[in-house]
Amino acid sequence: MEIIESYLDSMLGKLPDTPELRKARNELLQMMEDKFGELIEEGKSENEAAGTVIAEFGNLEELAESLGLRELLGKREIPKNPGRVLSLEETERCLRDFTLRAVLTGIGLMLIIISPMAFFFSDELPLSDFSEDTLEMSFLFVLSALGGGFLIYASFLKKDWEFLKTDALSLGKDALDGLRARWEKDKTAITLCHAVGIALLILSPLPVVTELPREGFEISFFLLLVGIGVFFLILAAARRKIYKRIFRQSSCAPGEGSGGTGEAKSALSLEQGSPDRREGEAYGSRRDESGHSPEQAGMARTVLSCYWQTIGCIYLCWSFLSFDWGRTWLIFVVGAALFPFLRIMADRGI
Amino acid sequence: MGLWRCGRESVKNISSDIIRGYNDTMILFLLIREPSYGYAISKQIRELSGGKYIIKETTLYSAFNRMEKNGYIESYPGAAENGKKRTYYRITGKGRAYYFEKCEEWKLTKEVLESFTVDVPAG
Repeated sequence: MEIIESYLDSMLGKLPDTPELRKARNELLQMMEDKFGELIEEGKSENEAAGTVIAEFGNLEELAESLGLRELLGKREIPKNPGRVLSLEETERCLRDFTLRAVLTGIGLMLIIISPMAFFFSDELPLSDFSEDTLEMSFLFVLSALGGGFLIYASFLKKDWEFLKTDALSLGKDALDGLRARWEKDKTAITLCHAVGIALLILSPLPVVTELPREGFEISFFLLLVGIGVFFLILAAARRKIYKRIFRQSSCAPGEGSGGTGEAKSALSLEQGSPDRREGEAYGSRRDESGHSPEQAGMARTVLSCYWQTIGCIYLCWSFLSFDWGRTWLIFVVGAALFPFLRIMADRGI
Repeated sequence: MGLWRCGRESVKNISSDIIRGYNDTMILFLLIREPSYGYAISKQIRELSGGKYIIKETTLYSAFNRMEKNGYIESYPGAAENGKKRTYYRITGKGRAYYFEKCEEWKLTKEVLESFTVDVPAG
Protein backbone atom coordinates (compact mmCIF):
# COMPACT_ATOMS: atom_id res chain seq x y z
CA MET A 1 0.00 0.00 0.00
CA GLU A 2 2.77 2.41 0.80
CA ILE A 3 4.34 1.55 -2.52
CA ILE A 4 1.24 2.82 -4.24
CA GLU A 5 1.12 5.99 -2.23
CA SER A 6 4.78 6.81 -2.81
CA TYR A 7 4.37 6.06 -6.50
CA LEU A 8 1.46 8.48 -6.67
CA ASP A 9 3.40 11.14 -4.80
CA SER A 10 6.39 10.76 -7.02
CA MET A 11 4.23 11.15 -10.11
CA LEU A 12 2.39 14.17 -8.77
CA GLY A 13 5.41 15.71 -7.11
CA LYS A 14 6.38 17.38 -10.32
CA LEU A 15 3.14 19.31 -10.50
CA PRO A 16 2.57 22.54 -8.58
CA ASP A 17 0.77 22.19 -5.30
CA THR A 18 -2.75 23.55 -5.75
CA PRO A 19 -6.01 22.64 -4.01
CA GLU A 20 -7.13 21.03 -7.26
CA LEU A 21 -4.07 18.83 -7.27
CA ARG A 22 -4.69 17.77 -3.71
CA LYS A 23 -8.26 16.86 -4.56
CA ALA A 24 -7.02 14.85 -7.51
CA ARG A 25 -4.47 13.09 -5.37
CA ASN A 26 -7.08 12.03 -2.85
CA GLU A 27 -9.44 10.68 -5.47
CA LEU A 28 -6.69 8.87 -7.37
CA LEU A 29 -5.36 7.35 -4.18
CA GLN A 30 -8.85 6.19 -3.29
CA MET A 31 -9.32 4.53 -6.65
CA MET A 32 -5.94 2.85 -6.46
CA GLU A 33 -6.60 1.57 -2.95
CA ASP A 34 -9.98 0.15 -3.95
CA LYS A 35 -8.40 -1.61 -6.89
CA PHE A 36 -5.58 -2.90 -4.72
CA GLY A 37 -8.04 -4.23 -2.14
CA GLU A 38 -10.03 -6.11 -4.72
CA LEU A 39 -6.94 -7.63 -6.32
CA ILE A 40 -5.85 -8.88 -2.92
CA GLU A 41 -9.30 -10.39 -2.38
CA GLU A 42 -8.97 -12.14 -5.70
CA GLY A 43 -5.91 -13.83 -4.28
CA LYS A 44 -3.03 -11.83 -5.71
CA SER A 45 0.03 -11.21 -3.61
CA GLU A 46 0.65 -7.69 -2.33
CA ASN A 47 3.49 -7.13 -4.74
CA GLU A 48 1.53 -8.39 -7.72
CA ALA A 49 -1.46 -6.28 -6.80
CA ALA A 50 0.65 -3.16 -6.33
CA GLY A 51 2.38 -3.83 -9.62
CA THR A 52 -0.91 -4.15 -11.47
CA VAL A 53 -2.26 -0.98 -9.92
CA ILE A 54 0.83 0.96 -10.89
CA ALA A 55 0.96 -0.47 -14.39
CA GLU A 56 -2.63 0.48 -15.08
CA PHE A 57 -2.31 3.93 -13.54
CA GLY A 58 -1.72 6.07 -16.59
CA ASN A 59 0.46 9.04 -17.34
CA LEU A 60 0.86 12.56 -16.19
CA GLU A 61 -0.11 14.31 -19.39
CA GLU A 62 -3.79 13.54 -19.26
CA LEU A 63 -3.95 14.51 -15.64
CA ALA A 64 -2.13 17.78 -16.07
CA GLU A 65 -4.31 18.70 -18.97
CA SER A 66 -7.50 18.02 -17.10
CA LEU A 67 -6.26 20.02 -14.14
CA GLY A 68 -5.79 22.98 -16.41
CA LEU A 69 -2.11 23.07 -15.64
CA ARG A 70 -1.15 23.63 -19.22
CA GLU A 71 -2.38 27.19 -18.89
CA LEU A 72 -0.59 27.74 -15.60
CA LEU A 73 2.70 26.66 -17.04
CA GLY A 74 2.41 28.35 -20.36
CA LYS A 75 3.30 26.52 -23.50
CA ARG A 76 5.91 24.32 -21.88
CA GLU A 77 5.86 20.52 -21.94
CA ILE A 78 4.37 19.44 -18.66
CA PRO A 79 5.69 15.90 -18.15
CA LYS A 80 9.27 17.08 -18.61
CA ASN A 81 9.45 19.21 -15.50
CA PRO A 82 6.64 21.59 -14.66
CA GLY A 83 8.67 22.83 -11.77
CA ARG A 84 7.99 24.56 -8.54
CA VAL A 85 6.09 27.79 -8.49
CA LEU A 86 7.77 30.78 -6.90
CA SER A 87 5.67 33.72 -5.84
CA LEU A 88 6.89 37.30 -5.82
CA GLU A 89 7.16 37.21 -2.06
CA GLU A 90 9.19 34.03 -2.12
CA THR A 91 11.53 35.49 -4.70
CA GLU A 92 12.09 38.59 -2.58
CA ARG A 93 12.72 36.47 0.46
CA CYS A 94 15.13 34.31 -1.48
CA LEU A 95 17.14 37.30 -2.61
CA ARG A 96 17.23 38.71 0.90
CA ASP A 97 18.39 35.42 2.35
CA PHE A 98 21.10 35.04 -0.21
CA THR A 99 22.36 38.57 0.18
CA LEU A 100 22.53 38.06 3.92
CA ARG A 101 24.36 34.82 3.36
CA ALA A 102 26.80 36.50 0.99
CA VAL A 103 27.51 39.23 3.54
CA LEU A 104 28.05 36.71 6.29
CA THR A 105 30.33 34.54 4.21
CA GLY A 106 32.31 37.59 3.16
CA ILE A 107 32.73 38.83 6.69
CA GLY A 108 33.60 35.34 7.85
CA LEU A 109 36.36 34.92 5.32
CA MET A 110 37.61 38.43 5.93
CA LEU A 111 37.94 37.77 9.65
CA ILE A 112 39.82 34.57 9.02
CA ILE A 113 42.17 36.29 6.64
CA ILE A 114 43.03 39.12 8.99
CA SER A 115 43.27 36.96 12.07
CA PRO A 116 47.07 36.58 11.90
CA MET A 117 47.43 40.34 11.70
CA ALA A 118 48.37 40.65 15.34
CA PHE A 119 51.56 38.68 14.79
CA PHE A 120 52.82 41.50 12.64
CA PHE A 121 51.66 44.75 14.13
CA SER A 122 52.25 43.72 17.71
CA ASP A 123 55.96 44.15 17.08
CA GLU A 124 55.36 47.86 16.73
CA LEU A 125 53.43 48.25 19.91
CA PRO A 126 55.23 48.98 23.14
CA LEU A 127 54.10 45.86 24.94
CA SER A 128 55.81 43.37 27.15
CA ASP A 129 56.60 39.99 25.67
CA PHE A 130 53.85 38.31 27.56
CA SER A 131 51.07 40.70 26.59
CA GLU A 132 52.40 40.67 23.06
CA ASP A 133 51.95 36.91 22.88
CA THR A 134 48.52 37.10 24.47
CA LEU A 135 47.44 39.74 22.04
CA GLU A 136 48.67 37.77 19.06
CA MET A 137 47.06 34.54 20.11
CA SER A 138 43.77 35.96 21.22
CA PHE A 139 43.52 38.01 18.06
CA LEU A 140 44.11 34.92 16.01
CA PHE A 141 41.73 32.66 17.83
CA VAL A 142 38.93 35.12 18.41
CA LEU A 143 38.86 36.32 14.86
CA SER A 144 39.17 32.83 13.39
CA ALA A 145 36.43 31.57 15.65
CA LEU A 146 34.15 34.45 14.77
CA GLY A 147 34.91 34.03 11.12
CA GLY A 148 34.26 30.31 11.26
CA GLY A 149 31.04 30.96 13.11
CA PHE A 150 29.84 33.32 10.42
CA LEU A 151 30.68 30.82 7.72
CA ILE A 152 28.83 28.01 9.43
CA TYR A 153 25.79 30.15 10.04
CA ALA A 154 25.84 31.26 6.44
CA SER A 155 25.84 27.69 5.22
CA PHE A 156 22.76 26.94 7.34
CA LEU A 157 20.92 29.74 5.65
CA LYS A 158 21.01 28.05 2.31
CA LYS A 159 19.25 24.89 3.52
CA ASP A 160 15.84 26.35 2.72
CA TRP A 161 16.77 27.03 -0.81
CA GLU A 162 18.46 23.77 -1.78
CA PHE A 163 15.68 23.07 -4.24
CA LEU A 164 16.87 25.94 -6.38
CA LYS A 165 19.78 23.85 -7.50
CA THR A 166 17.72 20.90 -8.67
CA ASP A 167 14.16 21.87 -9.48
CA ALA A 168 12.99 23.75 -12.45
CA LEU A 169 11.06 26.84 -11.44
CA SER A 170 8.10 28.62 -12.82
CA LEU A 171 7.53 32.22 -11.90
CA GLY A 172 4.31 34.11 -12.25
CA LYS A 173 4.38 37.26 -14.28
CA ASP A 174 4.58 39.63 -11.34
CA ALA A 175 7.34 37.61 -9.70
CA LEU A 176 9.30 37.69 -12.91
CA ASP A 177 8.83 41.42 -13.41
CA GLY A 178 9.83 42.10 -9.83
CA LEU A 179 12.89 39.96 -10.22
CA ARG A 180 13.94 41.67 -13.43
CA ALA A 181 13.48 45.10 -11.86
CA ARG A 182 15.63 44.10 -8.92
CA TRP A 183 18.26 42.71 -11.24
CA GLU A 184 18.46 45.99 -13.15
CA LYS A 185 18.85 47.90 -9.92
CA ASP A 186 21.38 45.61 -8.38
CA LYS A 187 23.41 44.90 -11.45
CA THR A 188 25.53 48.05 -11.21
CA ALA A 189 25.95 47.74 -7.47
CA ILE A 190 27.14 44.18 -7.86
CA THR A 191 29.57 45.08 -10.60
CA LEU A 192 30.87 47.92 -8.46
CA CYS A 193 31.47 45.59 -5.53
CA HIS A 194 33.30 43.29 -7.83
CA ALA A 195 35.47 46.08 -9.14
CA VAL A 196 36.29 47.34 -5.68
CA GLY A 197 37.19 43.83 -4.61
CA ILE A 198 39.55 43.31 -7.52
CA ALA A 199 41.10 46.72 -7.07
CA LEU A 200 41.76 46.08 -3.41
CA LEU A 201 43.32 42.74 -4.13
CA ILE A 202 45.58 44.22 -6.72
CA LEU A 203 46.59 47.13 -4.52
CA SER A 204 47.13 44.93 -1.50
CA PRO A 205 50.85 44.30 -2.06
CA LEU A 206 51.48 48.04 -2.22
CA PRO A 207 51.98 48.55 1.52
CA VAL A 208 54.66 45.90 1.40
CA VAL A 209 56.36 47.30 -1.66
CA THR A 210 56.39 50.93 -0.66
CA GLU A 211 58.30 51.89 2.42
CA LEU A 212 56.03 52.47 5.35
CA PRO A 213 57.30 54.01 8.57
CA ARG A 214 56.58 50.98 10.66
CA GLU A 215 57.45 47.69 9.04
CA GLY A 216 55.04 45.66 11.10
CA PHE A 217 52.13 47.57 9.70
CA GLU A 218 53.03 46.77 6.14
CA ILE A 219 51.98 43.18 6.27
CA SER A 220 49.03 43.97 8.48
CA PHE A 221 47.72 46.39 5.93
CA PHE A 222 48.37 43.86 3.25
CA LEU A 223 46.23 41.33 5.06
CA LEU A 224 43.59 43.93 5.73
CA LEU A 225 43.36 44.92 2.11
CA VAL A 226 43.19 41.32 0.99
CA GLY A 227 40.49 40.61 3.56
CA ILE A 228 38.32 43.52 2.52
CA GLY A 229 38.91 42.77 -1.14
CA VAL A 230 37.79 39.19 -0.67
CA PHE A 231 34.71 40.40 1.15
CA PHE A 232 33.61 42.55 -1.74
CA LEU A 233 34.36 39.83 -4.25
CA ILE A 234 32.31 37.26 -2.40
CA LEU A 235 29.47 39.70 -1.99
CA ALA A 236 29.39 40.47 -5.68
CA ALA A 237 29.85 36.90 -6.87
CA ALA A 238 27.27 35.34 -4.58
CA ARG A 239 24.63 37.93 -5.38
CA ARG A 240 25.20 37.61 -9.07
CA LYS A 241 25.04 33.84 -8.79
CA ILE A 242 21.64 33.73 -7.16
CA TYR A 243 20.12 35.92 -9.84
CA LYS A 244 21.65 33.78 -12.55
CA ARG A 245 20.43 30.62 -10.94
CA ILE A 246 16.85 31.74 -10.61
CA PHE A 247 16.83 32.94 -14.16
CA ARG A 248 18.37 29.77 -15.45
CA GLN A 249 16.14 27.41 -13.52
CA SER A 250 13.06 29.24 -14.73
CA SER A 251 14.46 29.36 -18.26
CA CYS A 252 13.92 33.08 -18.50
CA ALA A 253 16.28 35.69 -19.80
CA PRO A 254 17.33 38.35 -17.29
CA GLY A 255 16.03 40.82 -19.78
CA GLU A 256 19.33 42.26 -20.83
CA GLY A 257 22.56 40.68 -21.91
CA SER A 258 24.70 39.17 -19.22
CA GLY A 259 27.65 41.47 -19.27
CA GLY A 260 28.14 40.02 -15.80
CA THR A 261 29.65 36.65 -16.61
CA GLY A 262 32.02 38.15 -19.08
CA GLU A 263 33.29 40.42 -16.42
CA ALA A 264 33.61 37.68 -13.85
CA LYS A 265 35.75 35.62 -16.17
CA SER A 266 37.95 38.50 -17.16
CA ALA A 267 38.26 39.69 -13.60
CA LEU A 268 39.49 36.26 -12.64
CA SER A 269 42.06 36.23 -15.38
CA LEU A 270 43.32 39.51 -14.01
CA GLU A 271 43.77 38.00 -10.59
CA GLN A 272 45.70 35.05 -11.78
CA GLY A 273 48.61 36.52 -13.61
CA SER A 274 50.53 39.68 -13.31
CA PRO A 275 49.03 41.79 -16.03
CA ASP A 276 51.84 41.53 -18.50
CA ARG A 277 51.42 43.10 -21.84
CA ARG A 278 50.49 40.07 -23.92
CA GLU A 279 47.75 38.94 -21.59
CA GLY A 280 46.52 42.46 -21.37
CA GLU A 281 46.26 42.82 -25.12
CA ALA A 282 44.37 39.61 -25.63
CA TYR A 283 42.20 40.54 -22.72
CA GLY A 284 41.47 43.99 -23.98
CA SER A 285 40.46 42.78 -27.41
CA ARG A 286 38.33 39.95 -26.02
CA ARG A 287 36.44 42.36 -23.91
CA ASP A 288 35.79 44.49 -26.91
CA GLU A 289 34.24 41.66 -28.83
CA SER A 290 31.99 40.52 -26.05
CA GLY A 291 31.30 44.12 -25.34
CA HIS A 292 29.05 46.94 -25.86
CA SER A 293 26.75 48.14 -28.54
CA PRO A 294 28.32 50.47 -31.07
CA GLU A 295 26.21 53.37 -29.92
CA GLN A 296 27.94 53.47 -26.58
CA ALA A 297 31.12 54.92 -28.04
CA GLY A 298 31.81 57.15 -25.08
CA MET A 299 35.12 58.28 -23.78
CA ALA A 300 35.58 55.34 -21.45
CA ARG A 301 34.86 52.97 -24.27
CA THR A 302 37.47 54.53 -26.52
CA VAL A 303 40.06 54.43 -23.78
CA LEU A 304 39.20 50.81 -23.07
CA SER A 305 39.63 49.67 -26.60
CA CYS A 306 43.33 50.46 -26.61
CA TYR A 307 43.92 50.36 -22.93
CA TRP A 308 46.63 47.83 -22.52
CA GLN A 309 48.50 48.86 -25.57
CA THR A 310 48.61 52.41 -24.22
CA ILE A 311 49.76 51.30 -20.82
CA GLY A 312 52.42 49.13 -22.36
CA CYS A 313 53.69 52.02 -24.42
CA ILE A 314 53.79 54.38 -21.46
CA TYR A 315 55.65 51.76 -19.48
CA LEU A 316 58.32 51.30 -22.11
CA CYS A 317 58.79 54.97 -22.77
CA TRP A 318 58.98 55.91 -19.12
CA SER A 319 61.37 53.07 -18.36
CA PHE A 320 63.76 53.84 -21.18
CA LEU A 321 63.78 57.50 -20.37
CA SER A 322 64.24 57.16 -16.65
CA PHE A 323 65.83 53.73 -16.41
CA ASP A 324 63.90 53.31 -13.23
CA TRP A 325 62.76 49.76 -14.10
CA GLY A 326 62.53 48.99 -10.42
CA ARG A 327 59.53 51.22 -10.07
CA THR A 328 57.96 51.65 -13.48
CA TRP A 329 56.29 48.25 -13.46
CA LEU A 330 53.93 49.73 -10.92
CA ILE A 331 52.08 51.31 -13.79
CA PHE A 332 50.67 47.92 -14.66
CA VAL A 333 49.38 47.45 -11.15
CA VAL A 334 47.70 50.82 -11.15
CA GLY A 335 46.34 50.24 -14.63
CA ALA A 336 44.87 46.91 -13.63
CA ALA A 337 43.23 48.46 -10.60
CA LEU A 338 41.67 51.19 -12.70
CA PHE A 339 40.46 48.78 -15.35
CA PRO A 340 37.25 47.60 -13.71
CA PHE A 341 36.24 51.14 -12.98
CA LEU A 342 36.74 52.09 -16.58
CA ARG A 343 34.60 49.18 -17.54
CA ILE A 344 31.76 50.32 -15.34
CA MET A 345 31.98 53.72 -16.91
CA ALA A 346 31.89 52.13 -20.32
CA ASP A 347 28.84 50.11 -19.32
CA ARG A 348 27.11 53.27 -18.31
CA GLY A 349 28.00 54.82 -21.62
CA ILE A 350 30.20 57.61 -20.36
CA MET B 1 -8.18 -13.52 -49.92
CA GLY B 2 -4.82 -15.20 -49.48
CA LEU B 3 -3.01 -11.89 -49.95
CA TRP B 4 -5.34 -10.25 -47.57
CA ARG B 5 -4.44 -12.59 -44.80
CA CYS B 6 -0.69 -12.62 -45.42
CA GLY B 7 1.16 -10.83 -42.63
CA ARG B 8 -2.05 -9.79 -40.97
CA GLU B 9 -1.97 -9.59 -37.22
CA SER B 10 -5.20 -9.74 -35.29
CA VAL B 11 -5.94 -6.42 -33.63
CA LYS B 12 -5.76 -6.88 -29.89
CA ASN B 13 -6.14 -3.31 -28.76
CA ILE B 14 -8.94 -0.85 -29.02
CA SER B 15 -8.10 2.28 -30.94
CA SER B 16 -7.20 4.80 -28.27
CA ASP B 17 -8.11 7.69 -30.54
CA ILE B 18 -11.68 6.57 -30.81
CA ILE B 19 -12.13 5.37 -27.29
CA ARG B 20 -10.86 8.70 -26.00
CA GLY B 21 -13.91 10.37 -27.46
CA TYR B 22 -16.23 7.94 -25.73
CA ASN B 23 -14.84 7.60 -22.22
CA ASP B 24 -17.44 10.10 -21.06
CA THR B 25 -20.18 8.16 -22.77
CA MET B 26 -19.22 4.92 -21.05
CA ILE B 27 -19.08 6.55 -17.64
CA LEU B 28 -22.40 8.29 -18.11
CA PHE B 29 -24.02 5.04 -19.20
CA LEU B 30 -22.99 3.47 -15.93
CA LEU B 31 -24.04 6.48 -13.89
CA ILE B 32 -27.50 6.47 -15.49
CA ARG B 33 -27.94 2.98 -14.12
CA GLU B 34 -27.00 4.13 -10.62
CA PRO B 35 -24.73 6.64 -8.87
CA SER B 36 -21.33 5.14 -8.22
CA TYR B 37 -17.71 5.82 -7.26
CA GLY B 38 -14.33 5.76 -8.95
CA TYR B 39 -13.13 2.21 -8.78
CA ALA B 40 -16.56 0.69 -9.24
CA ILE B 41 -16.90 2.52 -12.56
CA SER B 42 -13.44 1.38 -13.63
CA LYS B 43 -14.31 -2.21 -12.79
CA GLN B 44 -17.64 -2.12 -14.58
CA ILE B 45 -16.03 -0.66 -17.70
CA ARG B 46 -13.60 -3.54 -17.78
CA GLU B 47 -16.28 -6.12 -17.19
CA LEU B 48 -18.81 -4.71 -19.65
CA SER B 49 -16.16 -4.47 -22.35
CA GLY B 50 -15.30 -8.11 -21.81
CA GLY B 51 -11.82 -7.22 -20.65
CA LYS B 52 -11.04 -5.55 -23.97
CA TYR B 53 -10.80 -2.07 -22.49
CA ILE B 54 -9.13 -1.30 -19.20
CA ILE B 55 -9.47 2.36 -18.36
CA LYS B 56 -6.53 4.04 -16.62
CA GLU B 57 -6.94 5.82 -13.31
CA THR B 58 -5.66 9.10 -14.71
CA THR B 59 -8.02 8.87 -17.66
CA LEU B 60 -10.92 8.11 -15.37
CA TYR B 61 -10.16 10.93 -13.00
CA SER B 62 -9.63 13.38 -15.85
CA ALA B 63 -13.03 12.40 -17.21
CA PHE B 64 -14.73 12.87 -13.84
CA ASN B 65 -13.05 16.23 -13.41
CA ARG B 66 -14.00 17.44 -16.86
CA MET B 67 -17.57 16.27 -16.70
CA GLU B 68 -18.06 17.82 -13.30
CA LYS B 69 -16.74 21.13 -14.60
CA ASN B 70 -19.13 20.89 -17.55
CA GLY B 71 -22.01 20.10 -15.23
CA TYR B 72 -22.71 16.61 -16.55
CA ILE B 73 -22.15 14.91 -13.19
CA GLU B 74 -22.12 15.88 -9.55
CA SER B 75 -19.88 14.57 -6.82
CA TYR B 76 -20.96 14.03 -3.26
CA PRO B 77 -19.19 12.54 -0.26
CA GLY B 78 -20.06 9.08 0.89
CA ALA B 79 -18.57 6.28 2.91
CA ALA B 80 -16.99 2.99 1.93
CA GLU B 81 -17.74 -0.33 3.63
CA ASN B 82 -14.71 0.08 5.84
CA GLY B 83 -15.87 3.54 6.82
CA LYS B 84 -13.35 5.46 4.79
CA LYS B 85 -14.47 8.61 3.01
CA ARG B 86 -15.22 8.15 -0.64
CA THR B 87 -16.41 10.43 -3.42
CA TYR B 88 -19.56 9.34 -5.21
CA TYR B 89 -20.82 10.66 -8.53
CA ARG B 90 -24.30 10.98 -9.98
CA ILE B 91 -25.47 12.11 -13.36
CA THR B 92 -27.33 15.40 -13.93
CA GLY B 93 -30.02 16.33 -16.39
CA LYS B 94 -27.45 18.05 -18.53
CA GLY B 95 -25.37 14.89 -18.38
CA ARG B 96 -28.26 12.79 -19.59
CA ALA B 97 -28.82 15.08 -22.56
CA TYR B 98 -25.12 14.95 -23.38
CA TYR B 99 -25.17 11.15 -23.13
CA PHE B 100 -27.95 10.82 -25.67
CA GLU B 101 -26.16 13.22 -27.98
CA LYS B 102 -23.09 11.03 -27.83
CA CYS B 103 -25.21 7.94 -28.57
CA GLU B 104 -26.51 9.65 -31.69
CA GLU B 105 -23.01 10.65 -32.66
CA TRP B 106 -21.78 7.09 -32.34
CA LYS B 107 -24.65 5.78 -34.42
CA LEU B 108 -23.75 8.23 -37.17
CA THR B 109 -20.04 7.39 -36.97
CA LYS B 110 -20.81 3.69 -37.15
CA GLU B 111 -23.05 4.13 -40.16
CA VAL B 112 -20.41 6.15 -42.03
CA LEU B 113 -17.57 3.79 -41.28
CA GLU B 114 -19.60 0.70 -42.14
CA SER B 115 -19.58 1.82 -45.75
CA PHE B 116 -15.79 1.66 -45.69
CA THR B 117 -15.06 -1.42 -43.65
CA VAL B 118 -15.64 -5.11 -44.19
CA ASP B 119 -16.15 -7.99 -41.86
CA VAL B 120 -12.83 -9.78 -41.67
CA PRO B 121 -13.29 -13.50 -41.12
CA ALA B 122 -11.75 -14.61 -37.83
CA GLY B 123 -8.81 -17.03 -37.60
